[in-house]
Amino acid sequence: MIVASGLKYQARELKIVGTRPLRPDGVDKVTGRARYGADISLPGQLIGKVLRSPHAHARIKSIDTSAAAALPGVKAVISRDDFADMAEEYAAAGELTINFRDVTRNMMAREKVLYDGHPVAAVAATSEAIARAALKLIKVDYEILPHVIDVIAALRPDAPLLHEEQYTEGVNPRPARPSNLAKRLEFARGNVEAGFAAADTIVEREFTTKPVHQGYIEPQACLASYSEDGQAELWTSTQGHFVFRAQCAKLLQMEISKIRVTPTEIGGGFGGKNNIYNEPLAIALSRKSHRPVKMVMTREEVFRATGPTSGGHVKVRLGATRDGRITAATAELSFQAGAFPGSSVAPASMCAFTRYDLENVRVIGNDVTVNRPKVAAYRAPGAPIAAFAVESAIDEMAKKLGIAPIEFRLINAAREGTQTYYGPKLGKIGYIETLEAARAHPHYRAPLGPGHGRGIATGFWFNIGNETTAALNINEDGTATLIMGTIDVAGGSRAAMAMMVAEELGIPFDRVRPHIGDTSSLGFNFITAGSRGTFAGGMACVVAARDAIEKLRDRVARIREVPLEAVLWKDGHAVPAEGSARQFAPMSLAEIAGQAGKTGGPIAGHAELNVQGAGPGFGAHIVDVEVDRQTGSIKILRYTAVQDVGRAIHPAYVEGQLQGGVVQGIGWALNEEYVYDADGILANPGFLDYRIPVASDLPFIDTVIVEVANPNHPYGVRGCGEVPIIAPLAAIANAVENALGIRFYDLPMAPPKVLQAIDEAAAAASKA
Amino acid sequence: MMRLPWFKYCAPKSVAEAAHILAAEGRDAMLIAGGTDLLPNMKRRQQTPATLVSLREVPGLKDVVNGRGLTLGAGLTLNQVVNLPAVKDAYLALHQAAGQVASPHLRNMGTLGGNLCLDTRCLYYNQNEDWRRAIDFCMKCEGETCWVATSSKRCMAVSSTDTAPALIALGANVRLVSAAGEREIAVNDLYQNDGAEYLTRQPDEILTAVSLPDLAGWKSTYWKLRRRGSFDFPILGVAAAVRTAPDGTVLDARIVLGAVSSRPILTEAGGLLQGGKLSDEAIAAAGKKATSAAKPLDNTDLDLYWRKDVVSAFVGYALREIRGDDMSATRLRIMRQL
Repeated sequence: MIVASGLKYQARELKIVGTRPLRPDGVDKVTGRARYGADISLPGQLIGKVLRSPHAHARIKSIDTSAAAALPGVKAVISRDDFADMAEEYAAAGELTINFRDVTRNMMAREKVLYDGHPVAAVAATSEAIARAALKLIKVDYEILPHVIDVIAALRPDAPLLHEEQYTEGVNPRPARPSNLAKRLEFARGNVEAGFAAADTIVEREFTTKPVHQGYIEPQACLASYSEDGQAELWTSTQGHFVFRAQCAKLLQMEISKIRVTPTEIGGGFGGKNNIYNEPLAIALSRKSHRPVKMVMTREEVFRATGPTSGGHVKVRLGATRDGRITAATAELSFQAGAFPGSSVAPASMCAFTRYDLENVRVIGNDVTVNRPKVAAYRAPGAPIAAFAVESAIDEMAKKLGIAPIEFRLINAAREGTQTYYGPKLGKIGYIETLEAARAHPHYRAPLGPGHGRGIATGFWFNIGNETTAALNINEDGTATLIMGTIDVAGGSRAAMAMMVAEELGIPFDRVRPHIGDTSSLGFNFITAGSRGTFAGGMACVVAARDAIEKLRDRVARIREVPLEAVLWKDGHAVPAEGSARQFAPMSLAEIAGQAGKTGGPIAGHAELNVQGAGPGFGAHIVDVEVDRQTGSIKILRYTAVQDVGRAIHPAYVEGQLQGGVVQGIGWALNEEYVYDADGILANPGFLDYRIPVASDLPFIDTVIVEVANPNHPYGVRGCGEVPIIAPLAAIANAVENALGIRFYDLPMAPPKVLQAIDEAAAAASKA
Repeated sequence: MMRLPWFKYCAPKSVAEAAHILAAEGRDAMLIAGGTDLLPNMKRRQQTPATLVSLREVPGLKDVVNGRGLTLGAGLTLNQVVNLPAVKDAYLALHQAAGQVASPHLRNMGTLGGNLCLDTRCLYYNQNEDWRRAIDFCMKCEGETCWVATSSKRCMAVSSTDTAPALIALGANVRLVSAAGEREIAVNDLYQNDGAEYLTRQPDEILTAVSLPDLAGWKSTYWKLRRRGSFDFPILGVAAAVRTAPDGTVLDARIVLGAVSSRPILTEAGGLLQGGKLSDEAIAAAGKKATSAAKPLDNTDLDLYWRKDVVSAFVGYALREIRGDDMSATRLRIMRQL
């Protein structure tokens, strides 16, 4: 069977897809048997630790590792001298683009340290205590430089410069002077000047958000073993073992075939495990010490040196006619990239207005380097920041025009055929259906208590496909082993894949055992990011299953001596085609599999695809809040997330994704932020002082799954994991505005900020 | 992960034996009960005792004696304290304070005595060793300067115990036992306003019991402010205890603030209420008086001016609850629990 890029959607009766079986990885997780990154060990392993910069910005004058190397128990010490310098070379990593010149410098500082926590050297020793003692013996001579943390401050002409050779890309002519503005993007369509001229009302506002961390529970952990014949094995907690393999090979100048990466169970990633950190260091330490080397980050290292997402500054301008039609929209987004270029400003710019069918749009995105850790993808990278600004402005516009927020969105809603301002026309999408489902939900009409406020906001995310492989081995007893190349980032994609395979084969769900293969067992898979797991991974699994079914039919045709087209596959059996002259006794999968050895050998299906046709996802959120007027504390009373997921293969896990995204969005809106002191040192690198929401802060989060099938997937899947984090920031801000009559333009909406605004509003009212 | 430094571990079987070990080991030894405060601190090398003297196997430290008043063993876990009907019935502020310390897991391990002796906290102190080295340490531990107030002669770390304000409002005493003898002091006298030397307990003394007076005719309450509804240390605690005549005239009142200084503060606001009724005006005046006593600094969560601003509101919540107003909706909203 030939499949170019995938299969189309076919509506049909389903037995397994859409049910809620227990996940294959569930028992091991609740009994503590599941093996995460830090659970993997090898005999004779060393412990690797990293020396990190205590300065936000400094030139490295010298590094003396001799005393550390001489400490008994220390088997290897590495620093910048152990890695080749890399030229500028771009590669995709998840939704963001990386540059190997920067990746090697982020992994191990070369000329300068650019943020508090930047790696400077690493040691491997026989115990963690010795490794820590060795770090203290490394002498680094720094020339401390002025630093810059804030994105607007970094754009000033007199701002401290992170990269002396950085001339803004994307502006013509090339600037005369280097600056912290790494790149300027522009997306435009129509004529915004004419659009604003045609508007009856204009809303123009500025918004800021703080950097927040992905907050995955499992810190990064890896184990590397480099053998004397130049082969390396790596176990690591990752969202993309093939991409990690490629990056390690590049950074260590090895051939790809000489590295095998085995992904461990992953304790959350949310985009934060798209990037290598300790992995090349562990391989380099193992190469130097001839021993396996294990490296486990502390939570503090996770906060100081991995993730977070950008803090952003967004200017929005909207024009609309009296009857509610948006005539023009512009935005300028400035994102902190951290120490190296490459923030999520590009996807954020593309998502900013792509919920609306607009004629005149211009979006400018600025990618700005500052003395903070290099940002990583975080669940719909950048889109929540853009949506916070745009959906707040949309709400304000709707109010000015006296149109209900959902109606205003419906008037302007993107639909099939809408031309985006960044390129493609939208295919079949479910934004209108999502808005209508939100409007029909009892929550939308429920009476509000005194002082309570309700907010609405919506989100859009592209979702992606990309390179994906799978293999399905039919076992001798008629069960099936599925080897997949996408990571189950804990959302339950193993269950979803096994369900689709079981549906295809017509056998019970528990007869399909899904397993995530290492990099030597399958062809290349792109990172599990962009909500592609169940869409692209599922496509590969279905293609592999159908490939196996073709082979099963072929065997039966030979056994029963009938033509191939006389054999159909139905409910786990090969059956004669209805009305065919060549009738025969049906054979079950187990019967065929039992004879496989005698009829041509083992049976397996394969898929090697570059999956296209991802279906964009849209969400509409409704939230009720109560604000304590004496303390400014905001309580979330009720929350409903409505989302078009195309098709929910396993509805319970889809609901879990929606709820999880909302929770992270609530944290972003109300509490979470990186706090730096005057010297650029992170003051809250731990979960006690970096406050993610806990159960006592959250209501039950209600979910409504809308299913507008993606025509480019056999089961209609769009992907669902990222959309739900986009809308909460604006939805909560809009709800607070409705409760207090005060709009907040800066996140987080922490109690002191809220109380100050309440007091100022009261003072202004009493004066008036 | 962060690991503990090496230490010697002693598990004495009596208070006398524990006191003897403490006397012999001197300042290198520290007591450990639940360990929920000490062990993370040790991992961050904020404290590196050569010897840990465990109180877990000492009999009698979990005793509850219900006579005239109530005596609670210092080794009772916070959850055990929460679940004692005698505490809930007569000493509601303690019940509420103990029930809001940290999270359920930590309340299952942490003890009443441990919470009273809880180390003071500060953003410049509750960091690991490397972090603190990067700022050349601070006055509380190994350094010279208080980074919160660089001209300060004393450490400004914050008292973060929830149970102490409640017990001060309730007029409780603690018993301190050493090899040389034992003494009983008011909980209020257990503390001094110095973030580094925040306890008057001597290093060789063991806090063995908390004794509460008979409080017939009193009503008490504890209100805790923190960013999230569980897990966080207080950024303000207000404990109030009031005794009223049948006509509602206030005979005695104590209002105590936690987490706005290096020690719990017994304010003068209680005195203002004496002889009058708990009217809205009296409550507002008490709130204003209590606010003037609060001295929050920029070394814990959220803005310090805001933390001072909300004292008055919190004192109001507490006193209105004692007056008999239904504050359950506010309590649920602010503290996420009843």
